Amino acid sequence: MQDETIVQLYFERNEDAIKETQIKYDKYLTKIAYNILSDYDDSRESVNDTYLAAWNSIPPHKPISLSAYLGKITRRLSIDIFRKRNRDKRKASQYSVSLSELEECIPGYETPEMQLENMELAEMLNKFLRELPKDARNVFIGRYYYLDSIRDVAGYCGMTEGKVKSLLFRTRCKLRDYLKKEGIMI
Amino acid sequence: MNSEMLHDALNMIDDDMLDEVYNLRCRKKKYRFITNIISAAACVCLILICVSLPHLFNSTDYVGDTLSDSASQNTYGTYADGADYDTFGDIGAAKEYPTLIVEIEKWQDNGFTAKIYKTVDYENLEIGENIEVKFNGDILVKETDENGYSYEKRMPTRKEFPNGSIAEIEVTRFADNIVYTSMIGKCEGS
Repeated sequence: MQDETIVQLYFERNEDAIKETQIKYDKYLTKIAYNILSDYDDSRESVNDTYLAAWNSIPPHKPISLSAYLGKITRRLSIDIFRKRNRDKRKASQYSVSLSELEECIPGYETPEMQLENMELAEMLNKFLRELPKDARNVFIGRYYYLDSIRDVAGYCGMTEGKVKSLLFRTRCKLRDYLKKEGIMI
Repeated sequence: MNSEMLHDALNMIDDDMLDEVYNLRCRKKKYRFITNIISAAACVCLILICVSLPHLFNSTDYVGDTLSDSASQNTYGTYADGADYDTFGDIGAAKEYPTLIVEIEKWQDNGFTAKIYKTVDYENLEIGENIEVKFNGDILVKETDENGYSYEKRMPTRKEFPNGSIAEIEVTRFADNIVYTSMIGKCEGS
């Protein structure tokens, strides 16, 4: 089914929208989640949450690219699960307990300043990526957005693993210099 | 700023750039499927070629309906492809190389001296000319029986081809009056 039709089903509040999304994008979303979480159950949870989030957000959102929209939700949810899982693991030590207790002193996990900073960073990243040659950009996004293995990236970009590694290294160096130039310290 | 923030920022990359990689990732699967089919087909072809190679080799041999002509000791036959071929004494020359009929004079190491008995399709030598014949390492000896011909990869022996006997040889190379051959066979009636 075409993406436009699926989005239309969401707008009509037709539950087939989720079914069709699942048919078309389940594998793709599970792969994104699994690349982050390395756990099948957690990945399933993340993907199911994605369907729910899509149901709740379309409308009002009307994504032009449904794959990118769903992928972003899955990625964000999976990263959240990953961070929560790591926090839970650390809870065993007294140091971690004190950290979580002190966290309460911080007014909010994500302040408006932080959000603004994130938006600015995203803008810079977009600009940086657009200036990159197509090959380097695809490799960078494949590796750091989709979190695919170097082998997989080399496979779908039609390069050797060595070339992917060297492209990534050079792109990371360029990004560091670019962010420094823009006044962001890493 | 830490790498987590970078990862969060990556979640706000423009959709068109993500779609480009998404399409590549999808194409990869199709491409893999196609390459798998091509690989499988190539393997099947390779196996078929390997299996049929000996048959192909034999099919270039003379498989004709041999008709003896006692007057001239010539026989006429056809190759597997139907082409007529005039040979001497039921010799059935292999098609790839020109053939000579020689009378063996004296055996030497890895060959013999001989006299040209008949030039079947080799024009550089004349009947009666003395030559030296050397065997190539992968020489085939043509065996004749009631079913036709077959080839065996081995060195020919003096006992099979005694001095004074008539043999057919393929001329794989000719230099300094030496004929290098990769096939030798007995001539009927020799």
